[in-house]
Formats: sequence, structure tokens, C-alpha cells
Amino acid sequence: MSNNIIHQQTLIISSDQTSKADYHFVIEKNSSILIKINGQKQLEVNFEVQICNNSNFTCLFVNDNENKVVINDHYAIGADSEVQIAYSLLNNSYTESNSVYDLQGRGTNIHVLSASISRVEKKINQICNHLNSNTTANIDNYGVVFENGSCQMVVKNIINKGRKECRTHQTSRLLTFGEKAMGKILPMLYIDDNEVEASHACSIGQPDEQQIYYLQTRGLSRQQAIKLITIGYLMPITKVIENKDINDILQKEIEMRVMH
Amino acid sequence: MSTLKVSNLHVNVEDKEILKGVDLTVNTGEIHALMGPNGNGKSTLLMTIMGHPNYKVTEGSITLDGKDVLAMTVDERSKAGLFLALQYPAEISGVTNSDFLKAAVNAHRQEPISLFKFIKELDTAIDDLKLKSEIAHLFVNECFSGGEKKRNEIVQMKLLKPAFSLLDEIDSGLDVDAIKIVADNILQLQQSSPMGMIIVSHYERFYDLIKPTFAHVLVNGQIIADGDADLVKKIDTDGYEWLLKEKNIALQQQPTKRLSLGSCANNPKGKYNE
Repeated sequence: MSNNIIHQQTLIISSDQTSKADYHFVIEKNSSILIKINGQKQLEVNFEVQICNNSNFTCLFVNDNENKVVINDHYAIGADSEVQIAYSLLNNSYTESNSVYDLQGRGTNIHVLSASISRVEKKINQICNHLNSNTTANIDNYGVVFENGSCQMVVKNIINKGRKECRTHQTSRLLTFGEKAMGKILPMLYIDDNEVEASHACSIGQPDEQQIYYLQTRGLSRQQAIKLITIGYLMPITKVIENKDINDILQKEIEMRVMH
Repeated sequence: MSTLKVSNLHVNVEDKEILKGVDLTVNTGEIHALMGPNGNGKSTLLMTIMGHPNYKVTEGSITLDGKDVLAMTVDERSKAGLFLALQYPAEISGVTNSDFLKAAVNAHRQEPISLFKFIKELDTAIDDLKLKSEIAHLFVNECFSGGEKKRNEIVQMKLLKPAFSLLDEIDSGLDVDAIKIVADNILQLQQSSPMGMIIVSHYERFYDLIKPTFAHVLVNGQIIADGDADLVKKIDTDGYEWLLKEKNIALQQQPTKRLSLGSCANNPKGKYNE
């Protein structure tokens, strides 16, 4: 199925209606899309997205499904394009996202962001290929893992020989609550050219008990304090999204999921 | 009138007894100055009253109008009317001052405060403490100067209006003008809703502005002297030496903790060279 995306489209995919969905999008000029996944059954969703030259594209995935979801998304991005892809993986069921970003055209910038809350297992796999020179990628993944939950983030940025003046950066952070919360991050940079910028930052840790105590001394219960810290941990990634409507949706989603 | 009563309090920190039988009674409307040499238990007392998990009560009691404070969780103590302005307030990245304070205010109310009323009270408190207005939208204590952190504690106190305030060196890090601003705000709050206060400070300048009704000196985990503002003046002029002599007390030296940085030396013989 091919679709031209018009500005501010919302796509709702329900697992109650299908167990597998395939989409092929061609993006021209300026577009934004909100993809909401809901339902109570297992679902696999595949996206092939072709972003034409000189396009400005923002996409937000919101996973509200109550059963296992696998998202496979692949982006072929043309030259001089600005792309922001955000994932809100705050639901309480198994989620796996496998994403490939091919930066095919020169002068393209992509920013990938994810906010996840894991009370069960979540897996985030991302590969960013700099297939041309003068391309920029920033990948920021922030997650909170609660007791009995686990989250694995595997992020690969690849710059092959001859791809000059590329900039590729990744940040992956997990905050864990409880002794049985598991976090695993595998940050990988495959860099085979010298005229590039590349970095990765990675942290897994528990919240500072002094912060929790401080909030409790002001009357917040331990649970309320943890919720406030969780929102504070995830919310900064919304500041990066330029599309105000998408930004507002993600902020509300984070507040709603954490506080209730 | 409400009463906070500490009776025969013994407190351990990491299996070491720090407080060795403290008795202290504070009524609302009273300001108690708590003085003593560094490392003798002043902060321990305040942190214990506020339920810090690192401080273990081994004997004694703390009651608030007859209710057992030690049976309360930290947040319950706050809701019961206790407030602690910390010596080193925590920084909480990602949580704005206004979100934090709104949650704190609502935790003390049956019904959530209206947004308009909250913003008005917050802006007024920030203005009263001469803090920059954008501080409401900054993350809690992040990138605040030492003085701003301390004044932010008083902003919180003004919003929460506690029955008892425990101020742990609230004047440290404040310049001369800021000390006066903080003191004025404390006294204004005392006028409008009288609090019982325990104030830890090393400096007579601050006590001179606050005018404590009672003063106590804590040494080696026990209160060895009680008095009023005159005691504060005498300590400021003559130090603690005269009092220790009078009471025949030797300060217990804090054991020096040796810090090992490990070694990166690589000696094939496995020994350090002589």
C-alpha cells in the first residue's frame, strides 16, 4: 500500500482488527504523522518510508497496545531533509522496535528519540547508516525500568570509508527502580573514516535516594516522588521535537502514563 | 499551640552512636537556636526528626502533640506539619520547581490548589526572597548558587506553612543582604502563622536578626547548656571553650577516615620498592 502523507495525519492501527500490518509511505515536502497502536492482541507492524529530497518529516509512534507488539520500520532518506522520529513506548506489554535509518542523500539530518517505561520486557534496536557524506544523526533513548521489567537498547551508528563530514551521536539512558529491574545497553559505533564526528553516551543507574527523600520531606509519598522523578527523566526528550503538536501529544502521553 | 517533644533520643549512624540522650521541647511560636561544634549531632537531630533513613533511633521518642512521630513515614511527618530546610538541598534534574512545589502543596491539601492561586503564591514567595522569577521553571536546585538553594528552601517553607520548621544552617552561603532577606521572611511567616523553629547556625549575625527565644548547645551528642539570646552572644564572643571547661567536657575527636586511592603501580615483584 503506498500513501502520500499529508500534513498532520493520524494513523490508528488496532491489533483487534489485524495481527500484521504493512505500510509504505512516500514523504514529499513537509509532513507529520502520529501513529497510534492500540488493541488487546498481538501485532506486527512494518513500515517502509521513503523520504524524498528536501523534505521535513516528523513522526511519533505511540504504543498503547495491551499485548505484544513488534514494530519494524525502515527509512530511506533523501538529500537535504530534516527528519524527527519519536517513539513513545510507555505501555505495559512486551514491545520490540527494530528500526533502520538509511541516510542516502547529502545534507540530511535525522533525530531519533524514544521514551520507554518497562514493567515487562522492552527491546529497542536501531541502526543508522550514513550512506552519504555530510549527514547528521542524533539518537536519544531514555527509559525507566520498574521492578520485574527489563529494557534492552542496541544502537548502531555506521559510517563507512569515504563518507566525509558526517556527524553521528547516540545517547542511551536507563533509570532502574527495584532490585529485579534489568537494563542493558549496547552502544556501537562502526566508524571507518577520519573526517567525522562520532560519540556515544550511555548510563544505567538507580535514582538518587537523596532526591526521593527530599521530595518526601515535602509531603510526597515515595510512589509520588518516583513518578515525579520518572516524568522529569523522560520529559526532556520532548523539548527536542520541533513540531509543537507532536510535542504536546508526547508530553501528555508521558504525564498520563506515569501518573496513572 | 502545638508541641514537638524530643525525649531521651539516642541515634546511631552506621552503627556509631551520635545522639546520646537528647531532650528538647519546642512549642509553636518559639524559636530555638541549636549550636555546638561541628560534628556533634546538630544535623543528626534535625534529620532524625524528619525521618532520614540513615539515622536509626535506638532509644527515646519524638512526639508531635502526643502523636508518635517515629511511627510516621517521612511524607506523613511533612503532612503532620514538620518542615526541614536541608543543609545540602538535593538537585533534581528534569523536575521543574513549579511542578515540584505544586505537587508538594497539593500533598498537604484535601482539594488540589487552583492553578491561579498557586502561581500567585509562588510568584509572591519568589519575589519576597528576591530570587529571579524564572526560577519557577528551572529544574529543582539545578545550577542554583548555594545562596539560591537556601532561599529556595524558604520559598518552599512559605508555601507549605508548617507548624514546625527545622532550619539546618540556612544562613551558610548567603551574603549579607540575603541573610537579612531570609531572616525577614522567617519573621514575617512567624507573625502570620507562628511556627515552632529549631535553627542551626554558627553565626550570631543570623541569630541577631531572628532573635531566638531559647538557645541550646549540643556537644558529644547531648545538650549541655540551655539559655536564651545571651548564650548565643557569649558563644559568639568566647567560643565553646569556656563552656566545655565549666562542664568538664572533652570534645570527642572524630576519627580520621583514611581514604585509599588504591595503587596503579605495577611492580613485578609484588612489593613496593624500599
